[in-house]
Amino acid sequence: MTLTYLIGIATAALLLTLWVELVPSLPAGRAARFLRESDQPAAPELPGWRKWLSKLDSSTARWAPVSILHRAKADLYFAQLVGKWEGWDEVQFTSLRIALCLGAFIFGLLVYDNMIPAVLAALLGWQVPVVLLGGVARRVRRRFQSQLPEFIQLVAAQMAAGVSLEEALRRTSQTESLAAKWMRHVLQMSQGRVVFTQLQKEAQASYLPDLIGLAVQLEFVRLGTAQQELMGQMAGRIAAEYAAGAEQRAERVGAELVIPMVIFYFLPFIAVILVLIGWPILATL
Amino acid sequence: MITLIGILVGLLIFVLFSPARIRRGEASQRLAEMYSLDTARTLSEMKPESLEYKLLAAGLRLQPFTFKLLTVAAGIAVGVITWPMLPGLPALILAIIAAYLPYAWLDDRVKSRGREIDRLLPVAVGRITAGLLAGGSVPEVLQKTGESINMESPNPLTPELMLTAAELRSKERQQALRSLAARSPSTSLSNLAYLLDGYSEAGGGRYAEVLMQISQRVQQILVSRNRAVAKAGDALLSARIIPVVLLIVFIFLTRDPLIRGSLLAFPVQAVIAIGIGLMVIGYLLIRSIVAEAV
Repeated sequence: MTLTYLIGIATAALLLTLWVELVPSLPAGRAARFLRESDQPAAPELPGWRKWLSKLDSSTARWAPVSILHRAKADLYFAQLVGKWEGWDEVQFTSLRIALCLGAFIFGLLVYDNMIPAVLAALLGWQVPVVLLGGVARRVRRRFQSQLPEFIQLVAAQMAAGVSLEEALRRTSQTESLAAKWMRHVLQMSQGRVVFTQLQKEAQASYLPDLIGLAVQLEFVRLGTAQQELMGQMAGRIAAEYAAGAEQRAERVGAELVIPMVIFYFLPFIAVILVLIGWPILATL
Repeated sequence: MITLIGILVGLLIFVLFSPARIRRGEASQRLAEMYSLDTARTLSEMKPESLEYKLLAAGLRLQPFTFKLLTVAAGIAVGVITWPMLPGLPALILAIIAAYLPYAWLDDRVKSRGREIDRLLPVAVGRITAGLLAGGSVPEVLQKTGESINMESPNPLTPELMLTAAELRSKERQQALRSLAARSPSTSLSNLAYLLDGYSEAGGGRYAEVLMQISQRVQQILVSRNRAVAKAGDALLSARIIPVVLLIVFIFLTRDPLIRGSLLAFPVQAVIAIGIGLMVIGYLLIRSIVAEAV
């Protein structure tokens, strides 16, 4: 039975490879459009196992659902802001998930010779990279959202001292917060051109509503005549919104803890109890 | 038991009679209190990731070597104590956890320095703004604010403000405030340093009205964040209580002779060890979710 499954997997992999390598035109799917439109720089030479993994990239890029790629891209954006998952893009990350999923499935089949443990192992392999990346991205995203309102206050303070919006952003980017680090990245990527185009581009790449809203509002401030006043109003609004949202986020924490408590407390405990009670019975059989 | 007593006696002898240069670091000899001006100055000269920095920031008057020795001793002691109850793999896992926990506790203490500053900052921002609006100079206002906060209780914010006030008198303004921003364990305090730098650069008094408005908004952000952090912290209580309840149930179950006998089987030991490991990972994860919630 296991052999049948393995032959099936190998045949599917061969067919996929032939399709990707021999059919020249790109399909008109949303994932393909998403990738064509993305402005990824030329991929650098990948070392070791990443090179092997990259063989899956073209298949992944063609058939992976766009929502999965979007989510991976957004998470990678924030993880890379603190130097984690450097050099990965959403396609390579999804390829890693597929490779781990397939590897775990084959391993499950070989070890247990049964479909159910193999599927469970495959699910685990599919989810592990997401858990690892998602944990980092969630923490960074929250820290970023928490520090953003104060960063805006500093920009407003600079502008109130008679500095232009662009110069205020430039000066405030020298501070120590994560938002300042992000702004330094934006300034670096804009390479001396008008910073606001890059600001909107980066905000969109982050898929963070707060940041997209901020980029749009900063553009309005830049186009407005009374820039200082507009910036002051915007800073006040952002502070008020943050204050209102903080309470709600704190209330959500309890609900967020339910799943970790079940996975890390109750399931291990039940397993321990079952083994403790079941072992003497098994031993007597 | 004899081994355990031997380890404890050995440690006691080491702590009491070892040479002072090993037992007490140079920094800890000079510092009488955790939250002193000297501590802030010394910390600013150390690498934040070093164990020496963490020990000093946590208020522990120990040399890194002594701390490492104590963690190893704690691991061995826990292993020896738990061996009769949970022999084999579970005891080893518990020993490893016991040796690791002091490091986790130390990291938490270092982070708590930043959290404590964040807690006090709304009050400090209010006082600093009021002082500047009244026409005081930045060093004078920082000094007085630091002293006033210290009257309530010793805290990590006072030495930072005092050190900055002292540096403002002896160094360039920008250098002193940037130094505060760089060494600050709190991003909000770092932002305050940049705000004060902007205030001084804009010409002080003329900028006071703007400073007041910005400070009020910063205060609003900090107060709501502190309130939300306190509320989120309540959720951590259940994460602490549940393992204790589970432990009690486990101890109760192991009173049965049959179950007690099964503790010697390797598969049972492996499952218990994995269970303990998962619970510890779970607790650390839950703590990180709560800490980063707001």
